[in-house]
Amino acid sequence: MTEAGLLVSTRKGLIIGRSSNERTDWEWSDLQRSGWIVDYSMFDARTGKIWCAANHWQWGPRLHYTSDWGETWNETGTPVFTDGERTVEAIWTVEPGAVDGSLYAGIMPAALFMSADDGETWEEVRSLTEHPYSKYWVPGAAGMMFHHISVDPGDPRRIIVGGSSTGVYASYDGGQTWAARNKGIRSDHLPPEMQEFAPCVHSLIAHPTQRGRLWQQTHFGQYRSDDDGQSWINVGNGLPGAFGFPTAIDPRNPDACYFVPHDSDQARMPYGASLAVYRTRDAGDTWERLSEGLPQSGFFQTVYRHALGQDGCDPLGLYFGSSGGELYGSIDAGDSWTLLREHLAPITAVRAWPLNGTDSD
Amino acid sequence: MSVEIRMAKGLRVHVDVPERVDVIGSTAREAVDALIVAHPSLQRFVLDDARRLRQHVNIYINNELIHDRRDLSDPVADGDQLHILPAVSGGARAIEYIQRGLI
Repeated sequence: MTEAGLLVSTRKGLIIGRSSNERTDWEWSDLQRSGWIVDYSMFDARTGKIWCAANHWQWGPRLHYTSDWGETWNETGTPVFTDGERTVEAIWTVEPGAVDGSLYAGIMPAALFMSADDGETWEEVRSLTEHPYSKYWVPGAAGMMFHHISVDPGDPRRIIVGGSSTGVYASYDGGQTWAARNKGIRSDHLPPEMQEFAPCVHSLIAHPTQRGRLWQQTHFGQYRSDDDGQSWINVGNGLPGAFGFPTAIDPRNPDACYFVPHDSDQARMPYGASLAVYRTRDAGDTWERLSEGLPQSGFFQTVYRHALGQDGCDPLGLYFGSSGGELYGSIDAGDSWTLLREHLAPITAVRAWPLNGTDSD
Repeated sequence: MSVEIRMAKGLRVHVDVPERVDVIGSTAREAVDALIVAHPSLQRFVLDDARRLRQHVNIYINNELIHDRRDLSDPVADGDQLHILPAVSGGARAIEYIQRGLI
């Protein structure tokens, strides 16, 4: 049996999905964390916990987790700045580290926090915030934050982060020092001599098995790197445009990648209001437009930066949500799509995982 | 100075605290600090990382909004009543969140 779990984060709470019948049927939870804006959620296979980065209009950001599919929720420690000036405005992502108990959180305003005790306590990774380029980080209308974190599953010292108005940074010593990885990235919002300092990353994923292989969607293009971001190759030829938000990869095929290009940073919707996911299986040389089962007219919505996920199953399951609360899924690596849910609140993040062989199965 | 602090229902659905707590203090800061000593989980709800009043939380002293949201230096007197209330939020903040999601 090939089954998956699915986390659908929305601006009004979290929906947890669990598949049956070879991912053709889904059982959905009630709205979890109702009243909270869920910016991100993820399943940590090491502990079986579902983590939820939530924010509240009045009471601020929190990290919650459940170990029983949402039957009960617990609030854990929350990243807190200690300089007496900054305050954590939102937790944009939380990701597992490569050693037991380690978690990383990407924060707005731009900062990275690390926990060594499974979220009980958090400490800012000041070496990143104090990188010499940080003086050039300038917030856009969305603010300034790190929202993508990849820790090498085979080497906890190798960490790569990406953020809006900040760029890509890599550490090879567990976060003690950081190297900017922004050469060759187009940044039309910066003067020519500042291009390397603060590109606007929209999403960034390091392939878990092919070390050095990165994919990213920025405000101004789609890129691949084969050397941990020391150099970038623009792979946008064959895509309808440079703008977009999410990236997804295939954990079994480093040459496969998925983007959802949008029509410029003005329209922020699929080209021609016609929804499609684009796939490459040759490292970005060619792209396929995948639209079977998706609306081909009148789709004026946005697919946000975390709102495309894959389940790691074989064949690959892909899932994405829209700003209009529609959730689509594919169990044939994107060849065809099915509307799984509609009328949800704006979907901020979609993450999935294989159930077989996990503690939560 | 003995001050009675009243916590809004919208706060108590998230934190297990009584509706009314009596504390000792001569300023709003001292009263709130005493409240947090008794109920530490309140700190993250009421104050931000720099210990300022959260943007969308209000404190009233005898029905008057406090003036110093950063240091909470507004004085309190014996028998004063202090309300901690969520501000009515959503409008401008919602636009901000929509922008955040889109950018």
